[in-house]
Amino acid sequence: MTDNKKSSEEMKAELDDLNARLSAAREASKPKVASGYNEATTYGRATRLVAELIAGILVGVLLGWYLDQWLGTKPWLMILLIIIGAAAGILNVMRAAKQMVQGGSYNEEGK
Amino acid sequence: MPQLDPAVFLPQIFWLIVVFAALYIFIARNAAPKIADVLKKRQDRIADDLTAAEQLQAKAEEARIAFEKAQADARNNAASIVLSKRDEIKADTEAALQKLSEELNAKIDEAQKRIDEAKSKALSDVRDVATDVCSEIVSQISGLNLDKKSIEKVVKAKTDAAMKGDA
Amino acid sequence: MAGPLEQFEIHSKVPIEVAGYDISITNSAISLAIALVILMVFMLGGMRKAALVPGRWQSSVEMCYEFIAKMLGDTAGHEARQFFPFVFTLFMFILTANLMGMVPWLHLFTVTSHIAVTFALAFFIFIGVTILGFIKHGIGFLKFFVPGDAPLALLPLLVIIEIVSYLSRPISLSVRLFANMVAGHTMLQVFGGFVVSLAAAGGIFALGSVLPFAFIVALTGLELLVACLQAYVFAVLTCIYLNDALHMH
Repeated sequence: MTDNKKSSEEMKAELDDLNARLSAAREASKPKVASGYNEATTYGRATRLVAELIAGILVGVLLGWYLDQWLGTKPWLMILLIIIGAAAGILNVMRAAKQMVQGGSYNEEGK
Repeated sequence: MPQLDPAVFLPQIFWLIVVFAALYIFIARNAAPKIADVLKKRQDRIADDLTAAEQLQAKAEEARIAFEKAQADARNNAASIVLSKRDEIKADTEAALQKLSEELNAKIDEAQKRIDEAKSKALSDVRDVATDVCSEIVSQISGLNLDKKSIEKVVKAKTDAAMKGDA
Repeated sequence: MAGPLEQFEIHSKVPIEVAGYDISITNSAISLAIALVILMVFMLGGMRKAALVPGRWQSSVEMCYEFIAKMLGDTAGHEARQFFPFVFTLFMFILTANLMGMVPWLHLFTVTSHIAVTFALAFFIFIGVTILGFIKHGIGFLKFFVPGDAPLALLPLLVIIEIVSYLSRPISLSVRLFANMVAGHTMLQVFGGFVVSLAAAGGIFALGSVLPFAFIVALTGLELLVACLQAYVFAVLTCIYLNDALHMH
């Protein structure tokens, strides 16, 4: 009788083990849903933010320079557009930072 | 900075477009569908295997439960058999004891009866002897020939008194 | 010893001129072709068996695929699936180009260290995404440049800022990749020059070359990371721009 009981307990333990392994396998085979951008390292984030800011100003400079050449308003439009470019750069930085905090920018809305 | 020389822009961009287009066509037509196919097949296979494994696992669980139920039944059965047997044996034993004590009582009664008979017989023998001895003694000492009946009466009374005193 | 910027120079190997345009085969073009061959070998070789239980090679091909597929899905949603081959090509191409220049002794030309290449890629993405936005939303895509909750007086200024911000996308995308590659490769070259010249000086100076050498090892590790990271960032931002065009967030 004790022998039988022991084997039954062993059986139960084995089944439980199988159960755990099965659900683990099921879990592992599911497609993972995780964040997108926030996996990038600090260095990646830093270069992104710096580039956003510089690019805004750069666009201001280029656009201002060409418009000044074209309209003969040197150097006023360039000055104006550098300021606007800096504002755009800051806007970009803020957006990028928001995206980094949120993780992926795409949210499954209404699904 | 050699990168800012406009003369090198055109050849680079031209070859970039050529190579990138070739790579894109290769990946879109050949590599990506192939990889997607393998991944899909593997996912399906894993899902199938998992389903099969889960079914088998459910069966194993069922079997285990059935086994445990059978075991529990057997245990209960055994216990009830033991209980009923014990009662039976107890009843048998009690009946046998009862019978034995009845027999013994009967034997004791019989023995008592025989003892009583033997006693009364012995007593009457004693009385006869006492009566004879008494009449003999009386006739020899006093010469009186007493009536046997009256002697018997006296002896009886005396012995009864003695028996009572004894008792 | 060559100057640190010499590695970025373009040399014409086979001069070709078509209709007055210079399309010579340069060291850059050769490097591009090598990248193409490497990627084709990598993918065809990895998938030649297409086994259900993948080997190490096949696993790495699949890993790249799944990495980009997941990133595209997370960032731009299900609709962006049709652009997967493009994003995958883009990522693999930039990654290979970035890493190719890191191989020691071979001195392969790093095509992504040229602003012409990175800007051409970024500009193509910029134009493509903008066209996609107009195809998807028609003229309504212009609303993308109008902030929702702005006071009316400030609106023209804000629209101009939004447009400049939008125009800055290809610039930030290309300048970041270009600057990272140039900075990393230049630093490696400079410290490599130190090591060689110190070791050549001999005696006590040869001992002094140990420190820059250790630095080079660390720097190479960092550069490997940066090469992968910048390819990833380029691909992620492409996905974010795709998402903006598709969903107008």
